[in-house]
Amino acid sequence: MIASRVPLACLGGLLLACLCGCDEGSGGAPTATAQSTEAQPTRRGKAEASALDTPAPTESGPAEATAAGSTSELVALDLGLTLDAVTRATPGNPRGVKPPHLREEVKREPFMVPKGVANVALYQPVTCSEKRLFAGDLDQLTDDIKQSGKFDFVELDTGLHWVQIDLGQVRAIHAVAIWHYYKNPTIYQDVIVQVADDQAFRQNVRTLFNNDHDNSARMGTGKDTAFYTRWWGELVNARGPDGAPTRARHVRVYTAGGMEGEPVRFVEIEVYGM
Amino acid sequence: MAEERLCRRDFLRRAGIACGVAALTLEERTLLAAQKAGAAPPKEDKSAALPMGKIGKLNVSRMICGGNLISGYAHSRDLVYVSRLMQEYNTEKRVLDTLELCERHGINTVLSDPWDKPRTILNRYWKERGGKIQWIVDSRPDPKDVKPKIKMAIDAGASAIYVNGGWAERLVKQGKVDALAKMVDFIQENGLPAGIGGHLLDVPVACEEAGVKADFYVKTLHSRQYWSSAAQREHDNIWCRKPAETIAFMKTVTKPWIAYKTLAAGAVNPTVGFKYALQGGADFLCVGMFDFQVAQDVKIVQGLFKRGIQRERPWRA
Repeated sequence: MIASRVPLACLGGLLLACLCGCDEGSGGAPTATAQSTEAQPTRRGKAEASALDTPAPTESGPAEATAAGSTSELVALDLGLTLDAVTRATPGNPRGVKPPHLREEVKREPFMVPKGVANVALYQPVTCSEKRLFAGDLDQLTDDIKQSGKFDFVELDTGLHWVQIDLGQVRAIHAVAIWHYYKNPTIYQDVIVQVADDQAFRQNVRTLFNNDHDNSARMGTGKDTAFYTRWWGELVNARGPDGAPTRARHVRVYTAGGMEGEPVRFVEIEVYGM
Repeated sequence: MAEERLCRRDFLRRAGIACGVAALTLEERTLLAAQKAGAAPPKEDKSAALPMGKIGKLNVSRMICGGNLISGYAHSRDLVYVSRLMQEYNTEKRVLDTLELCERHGINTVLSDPWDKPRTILNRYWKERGGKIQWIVDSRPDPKDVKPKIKMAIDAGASAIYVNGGWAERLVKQGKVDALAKMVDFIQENGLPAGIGGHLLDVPVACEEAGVKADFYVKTLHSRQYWSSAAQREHDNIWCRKPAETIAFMKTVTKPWIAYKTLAAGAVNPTVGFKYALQGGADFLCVGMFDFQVAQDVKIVQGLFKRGIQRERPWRA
């Protein structure tokens, strides 16, 4: 039974050592620029990578995490990825066109954060670009449920859309973790993660991640890599080159549809900070 | 049929032994590795209890475990095999396990009919598992002699009793609201909270007009925003035909309200359905759940309360 379910696409994976994660994007440098159609430089830590490069080195290590002057103990960020917390995905990867900047999946190294960093997006209000959702309720994006079953996602239309979380106050953000719908592995286009000081997203807008390689979203060309949506989520490093967390109140995640025309679907967004 | 549940862990363990690790997909190997690494079972946050309300003297969790899954009614529209599938899956052992899971997650009350199967299971549960779950019994007393059926429920261990929805609808249609009042009186004389059920809004309307002194209502509430609600010919697909009118009327009712069929028997997203019912004025949600749904459903309800529930009807329990 199992052998018959192993598609050819997975044979390449058999050559890899036991994997436990996927390399997240390199993250983007916060840029103090208003939203515009100008090319926006994204954040660059030491772990700059593209799909064509060799696997990215680890994200900022212990020294950088404390570069802001904190001497607090560092712990590996725990995203709560227990066996019961996630959904088993449909085996195999889709066979359609792959974008040129699709990254190679490698093990995600532990992301070290100061002790006390927690998901500050939990139960916070969410807004979005659509007036009416095709499925789900926006509360589902911050309810700590990372399953990807039939009723576990919020669906917007195809095309570029965004969801935005109000953290309630300015927070020192170390990382943003995003789960798009992953039961069927999907490559979503134009994933852009930004933060701002105001609800209207005009003040002090900074880009943390941008994998829009052809500027189709008209928000600037991004250098980050495309990825398959997986149960381990996409972890975006929100720290600056000096290792300091980004301070912001509002977090927005843009996504255009999937490469196969899939509508935009989100399962959960977590913002790790203090 | 083996009673053990073939969970993901078992599946991976057997798959690994039978076919060798190399034959597994990447994801299965990843999950297997996590299992071998001694991934800890999910922690239960005992501090995140379910909010509670009161029905008479009973403290009742805002989420009540529905009994159809115990009794075997699946409301599966035209999928004729689903009820049988549910009964095969929900063996006695599994139901006992589910009740235990419910209590562990803060659900302290189950609502079901008093026939043999739930009666046997609940008594086993209290005796063998030491469970404390309260039991709201769905009763169909004979209007000519209300006592036997009500006494049966009391003797079986009921914590509260209500008149079954379909039963109450029939009596209301026949103009026998006074019979409902007698049933309520007898239940209350025996020291238990007494309720009246209904799918149709006609039932609470008639009871309020007649001044029936029930302690609570059990009334369906779900939105019509699901595919099979629009079926031209009804076939076990809809239980609240007038949700807006129900919400509007229940605003005038001061008795506690247990809303059931809030997910339209599985057709509605739980977050959407629970939110709709609580915002619409329900004091309690009665939800039929499989064991694999309990944790997530409780988490959803806890989250809704933590965010704050905006509603016009005051909490009546």
